[in-house]
Amino acid sequence: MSLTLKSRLAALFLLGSVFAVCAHATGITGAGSSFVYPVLSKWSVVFNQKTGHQINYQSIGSGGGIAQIKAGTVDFGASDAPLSAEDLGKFGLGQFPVVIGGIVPVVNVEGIGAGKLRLSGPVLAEIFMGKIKTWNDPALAQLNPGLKLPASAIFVVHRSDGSGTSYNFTNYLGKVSGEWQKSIGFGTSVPWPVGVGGKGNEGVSAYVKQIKNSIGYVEYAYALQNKMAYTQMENATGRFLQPSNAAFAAAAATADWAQAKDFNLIMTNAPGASAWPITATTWAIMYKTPKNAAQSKVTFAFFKWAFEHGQPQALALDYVPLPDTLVKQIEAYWHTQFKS
Amino acid sequence: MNAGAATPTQDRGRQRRRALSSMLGWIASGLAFVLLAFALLDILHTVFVRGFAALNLQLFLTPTSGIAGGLLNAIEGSALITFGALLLAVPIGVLGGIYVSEFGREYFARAVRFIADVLVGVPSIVFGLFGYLTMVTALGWHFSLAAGCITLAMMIAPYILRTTELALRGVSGELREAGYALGASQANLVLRVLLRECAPRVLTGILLAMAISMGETAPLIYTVNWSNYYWNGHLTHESVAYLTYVIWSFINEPFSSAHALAYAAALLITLFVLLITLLARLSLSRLEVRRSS
Repeated sequence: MSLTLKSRLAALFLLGSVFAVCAHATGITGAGSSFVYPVLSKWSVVFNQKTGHQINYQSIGSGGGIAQIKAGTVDFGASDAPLSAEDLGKFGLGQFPVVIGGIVPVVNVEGIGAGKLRLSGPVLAEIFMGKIKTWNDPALAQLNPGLKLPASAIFVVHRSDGSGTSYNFTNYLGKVSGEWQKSIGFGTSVPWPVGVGGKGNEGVSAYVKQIKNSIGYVEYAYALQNKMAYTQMENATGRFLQPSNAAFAAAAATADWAQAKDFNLIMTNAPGASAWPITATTWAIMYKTPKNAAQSKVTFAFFKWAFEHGQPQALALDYVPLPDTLVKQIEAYWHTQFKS
Repeated sequence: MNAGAATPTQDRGRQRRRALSSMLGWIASGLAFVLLAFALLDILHTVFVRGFAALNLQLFLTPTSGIAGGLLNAIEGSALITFGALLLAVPIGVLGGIYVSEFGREYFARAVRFIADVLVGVPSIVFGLFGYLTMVTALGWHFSLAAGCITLAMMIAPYILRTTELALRGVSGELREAGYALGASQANLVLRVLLRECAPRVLTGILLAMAISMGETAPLIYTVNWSNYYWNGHLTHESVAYLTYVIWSFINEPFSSAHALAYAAALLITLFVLLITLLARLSLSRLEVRRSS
């Protein structure tokens, strides 16, 4: 009978592909922010080679990460927006920063290369509010005396999905523009007055690359990898800076972490002289009294290893490792806040 | 010609009108075909060009390492999940199909058929949510192979049930009568006459269900999570890797190594689904050959 032969062959083929490499070590699962996915998965590979423990992280977005840790389906969640003290207390959770990255405005204007255009916070806010409508607007011309700016209309691109990038970007615009703060506010998704939305950093990058005379905002790694024209920004001290790992690190170093309860601090518009104004971090969120002590212990060991030895991997992927002072504060926080 | 018939001129006019509308119809359906074929060819072109460029031996020998490395863990996981789902869904689907077609009372059969049709139409992400709420959280299995397999099985079992039932119903009544006339019991008739006759159709249903489960993403995001490692033998509490996750997630990363993996995964899935569809076609055409000879 040809059928049974065929189905037997099919079953055999499937069975043949079913094989398991058994490694008996603790498996840790995490979920959340897509921003940290590349570095977390790179760290977990190296950590696995060193210790044999497996860290599995699924990139489902910050909102998903918070939902999963609250549901207790993962050992840690990761979010680009911090949880409030109230939320943390209600669920018995603690949070700490994991890694630092920068957000950069990107433009597609003929003749303007990467790092050429200068922007200030208030001007950026007015562009994203639709108040500044053309590239040759006096406010832009004043910031860029040497640049030839076209008379064409500015095309704004923002995120269509809820995102930590938007959270930090709008938080910054709110800090530098009272009008933005009053009429739009900040959050993972806000009522954008103008422009089109792209899904994810990839979506925004694709739109800005396709649409002439457009402006958007993406994580630094996307601007670099896609070879996009990022801009300079005026920071809190009035200096114009190029985005760089050093400028992101300066923002993290000058932020006042010691005063921030549960590290609930947004690093935008940081006061340092060489601090990039739109710098962001991602928080890992864990239970203070773990459901599974052994797994919680490995999770802490993983983050401790990443903070102390994972800097090369982070830098290779355009992230900035946490400054030493902050790592010490986090380790102290672990000892006082978490039971394990 | 009788009195009511059209004159030759009227006839010619009608013929011309018919020729014209027929031509318009052909053009419209030809355009529809070109549009559909173009969409398919464009997808295949993109996937093949970018996928083949990303192919290398490492993909089949090593697991993913962060956003680079190989795909062996995902290939293994996809095979496991599909195999597990079929293991659960094939017996349920085939036996259910036989029952509804041959044994069930009419009202009960109608109810089962209705439920199966509704289930076939439910979006796959709803199955994912159901699996998440029941197995991942309520039963506390966490993200796991078992949750993924059962969720996919729930999705494809109704499909297999319906194709099995339709296949059995397609067998001519004469064959049944002949079987009974020779003294076969009902069980004997089903197993040795009817199923044998329509086996290629049942197999086709199973193969297409396999293709569906191979290509699903949404139910697995909710139930299986993702893993950078090989399966370690646990049915619950252990995430598993799968190919469609690589496509869904890695294409959004900024790095070209991640994009290459996503395209390679897309190519593997596409080739596999094409292969299964061709196998299904082949088994059906062999049925036709057997019929006509």
